[in-house]
Amino acid sequence: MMLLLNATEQAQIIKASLETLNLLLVSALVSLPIGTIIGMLLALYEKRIFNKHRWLIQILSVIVSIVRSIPFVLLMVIIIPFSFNTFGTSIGYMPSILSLSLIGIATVSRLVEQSVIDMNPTIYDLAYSMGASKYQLFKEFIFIEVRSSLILAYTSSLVSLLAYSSVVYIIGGGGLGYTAIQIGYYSPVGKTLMWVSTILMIIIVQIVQLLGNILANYLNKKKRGH
Amino acid sequence: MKKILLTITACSLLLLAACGMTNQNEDTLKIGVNFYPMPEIVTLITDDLKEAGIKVEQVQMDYNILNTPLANKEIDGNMIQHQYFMEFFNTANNAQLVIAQPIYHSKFALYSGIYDSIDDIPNGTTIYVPEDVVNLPRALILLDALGLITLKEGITVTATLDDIASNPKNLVFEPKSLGTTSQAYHSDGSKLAVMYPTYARDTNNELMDASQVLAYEELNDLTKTYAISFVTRKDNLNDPKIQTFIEYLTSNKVRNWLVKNYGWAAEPAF
Repeated sequence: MMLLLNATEQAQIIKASLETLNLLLVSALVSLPIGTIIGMLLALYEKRIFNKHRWLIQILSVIVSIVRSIPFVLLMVIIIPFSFNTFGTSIGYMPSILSLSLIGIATVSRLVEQSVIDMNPTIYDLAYSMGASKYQLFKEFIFIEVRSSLILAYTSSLVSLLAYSSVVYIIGGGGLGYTAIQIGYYSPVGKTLMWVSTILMIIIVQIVQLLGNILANYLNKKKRGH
Repeated sequence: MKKILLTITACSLLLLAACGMTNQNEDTLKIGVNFYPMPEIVTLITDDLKEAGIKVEQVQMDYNILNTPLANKEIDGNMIQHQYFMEFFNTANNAQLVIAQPIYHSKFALYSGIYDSIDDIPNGTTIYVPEDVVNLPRALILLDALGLITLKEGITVTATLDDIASNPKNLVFEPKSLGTTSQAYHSDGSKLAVMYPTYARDTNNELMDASQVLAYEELNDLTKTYAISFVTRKDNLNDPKIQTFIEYLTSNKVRNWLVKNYGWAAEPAF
C-alpha cells in the first residue's frame, strides 16, 4: 500500500497515523476510567442499590446527555476559548484531546450504564440470598457478571473515538482525518492519500474490534467457569 | 495502588500541560494553512527560508477558525482568506488583522453545458449561484459585468438578490452552498451556474475541465479585492521575518509553480 505513495505522502501518512494513535490512546486513557465510574454510578442508582443524593446523579445524567447531543464539530469549537484560557493554546493537540476526552467520557458512561442495567437481574437476588454486602455485591457479582460486556462497551467507545478523532483536523489536531479529507478529498492531487488513510482507519477499527471480541469471549467463558 | 494511580494521573496531566505550552522560538514563523495549494506553497519555500535563517512551521486547521489563533498571537500569519472574510472577522472579534500580501486571484466563472454563448440563454433559465454573503455578491457582479443582469447603482460587494435592478432574461436564481452547486447544476441538466473551478465537479465527482466555461470573471480593481492573501496582525506586519517570508512568497519560484500546478483555478497576484 505504501508503494502507491511518493516520499512526501509517505511521511505525511506516517505522521498522521501516529497522531491518530496518540489522540486515540490519550483520550481513551482519560475517558475509559472516568466514564466507567460515571456509568457505574448511573446504573447503580438506576437499580436502586445506592439511594443517597439521587438528584446529583440525575444532574450528572443530564450533563452526559447534553455532551452527547452537542454536534461534535461544534463541541470542538466551543472548547477553543476554554482551552486558550486554561492551557494557553487554542489550536492543535490540547483542544483536540479535551474535546475527544469529553465526548469519550459521555459515550463510555452511557455504554457502561447500559451494560450494567442489562445484566441478568437474578444476580441481585442471588447476592442478597447469600447475604452479600453492597461492596461484595459489586465486587463479586456485578463486576464479574458485567466485565465481558464492559469490554465490548469499551471497544465500541474506542471505535467512536476513532471516528470523532477523524474530524479534529478542523482545530489543528491532524491525524488520518486530515490526510483523508483535507489533503485527500479536497485537494486535486490527493486521491491515493484519501484511500490509503481510509484503509488505515479500517485496519485500526478491525484490530480494536478483534482484540475486544477475543478478550470479551475469554472473560465470558471464565465467568461461566468453563 | 492508589498512590501509583495518583502519581500516574498527575504525571500525565503535567505532560499534557507541557505539550500545550509550545515554546515560542525566536526565529520560527508559524503560518496557518488549510486548503490546496497553500501547504504546498509553504513547503516549496521552507528550505529557502531555512537558509535565510527562518524556520517555518505549518499550522494546519480549518480555515473558518484559523483567524482566532492569529489574533491570539499563537501563530504569525495565515494564508486562507480574502479581504472580506478578514474584515468580517475583524468586525466580529474586534481584531486587527491586515492583508500583508495577495497571493492569487481565484478564477470565477459562469458555466453552461448547453449554451454556447450568453445570447443563447433563453428566458427564465434557472441559474445556480453561491449562497454565502461573500460569494453571492461576487457572482452577481460577474453576471452584471456579462450584461445578464444589472445591479442597483453603487452596490457591489454587498449585493443580495434584492439588489438586482433589472433581469432582462428573467433568470431564476437558486442559491446553493459552494460544495453543492455543481451537483445541483448537473441535476438540472447542466444549464447555468456560477462556480469556482475548484468546486466544479462532474457527475462522477471528479473536477471538471474548462470546456463548460461560458465566461470567466474579468480581473479589475473590484474583482482583485477578492485575492486570497497572506494575512498578519497589524503589530507584526513590519516584522523583518514576515517581510522576508513575503519576499520568498512572491518569488518567481512560487509564481511558476502556481502557474504550472494551479493555473486552471487561479492566477498569481504578484
